[in-house]
Amino acid sequence: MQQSICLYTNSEMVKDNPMYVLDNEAFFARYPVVWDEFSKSIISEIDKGTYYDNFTFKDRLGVKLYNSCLSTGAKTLLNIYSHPEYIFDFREAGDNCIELFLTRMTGSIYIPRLQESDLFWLKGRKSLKISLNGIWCKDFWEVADKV
Amino acid sequence: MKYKLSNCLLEIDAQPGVYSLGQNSGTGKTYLFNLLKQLRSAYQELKILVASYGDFTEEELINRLTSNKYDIIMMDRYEIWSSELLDYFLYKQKGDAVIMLDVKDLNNVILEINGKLDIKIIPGEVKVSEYVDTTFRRQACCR
Repeated sequence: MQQSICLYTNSEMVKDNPMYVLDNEAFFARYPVVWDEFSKSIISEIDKGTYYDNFTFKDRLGVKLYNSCLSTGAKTLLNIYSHPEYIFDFREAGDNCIELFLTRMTGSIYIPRLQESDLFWLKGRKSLKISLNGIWCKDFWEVADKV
Repeated sequence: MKYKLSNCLLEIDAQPGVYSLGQNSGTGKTYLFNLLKQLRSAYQELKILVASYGDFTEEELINRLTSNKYDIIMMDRYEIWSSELLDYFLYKQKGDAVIMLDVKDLNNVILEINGKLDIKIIPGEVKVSEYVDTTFRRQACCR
């Protein structure tokens, strides 16, 4: 199956969608994470910590904490990875999360602050389908034109 | 200002004003938020207001902001619950309080942001200090 990224910059496109998730913290607290090498790498790349088990991680100082202590950005990425059928609000996720999502992940996000320069993270990704506000774009350049 | 807690020393090195806490995730913003909650309980003479999404209604927060003068204010996850009305009442505190906003896109707030604060976490110590960065200045100038 071809991989795809759906980007929404217009709130009108998502606000009434039953699959739209505003509160990433609450979603993370309720639904399980799919743990594999990639989801474990999100902890190390964003929070500079290490996966310990499915419920805990070690932070950058080596202190063992519950996963509820992960940053909101890391939780958002873990939500997207584990539940690709939803559209997640990406406003709380930082610039480092935008980079990781656009370079290595797929899924649907609401990101009103998306800038043309962010799209350069997509450039190296071949055979990736991209939609912007519900419209499929034929290539990276078409997305960049529309942002 | 240095505050001693049983598990760490918290230092906030900033003048009163409005500050963003940076555009990256995983820098310790929510950790700082929880430390400030501890500080509020430990030092009741300090006027500290910390709020995150779902903690208060807008009306409750505005009531607090109009009836108190705070030393430290932190709004966590402010991106998803900010409003122009709240921005206005926060702005009125900027002469007295160090106001820290967890906001990634500075265009989402009408407040004039005075600078960016950097959070440094080392074992037993958390230091929050002003950080001068050219990218931030460029973004602020473009607003």
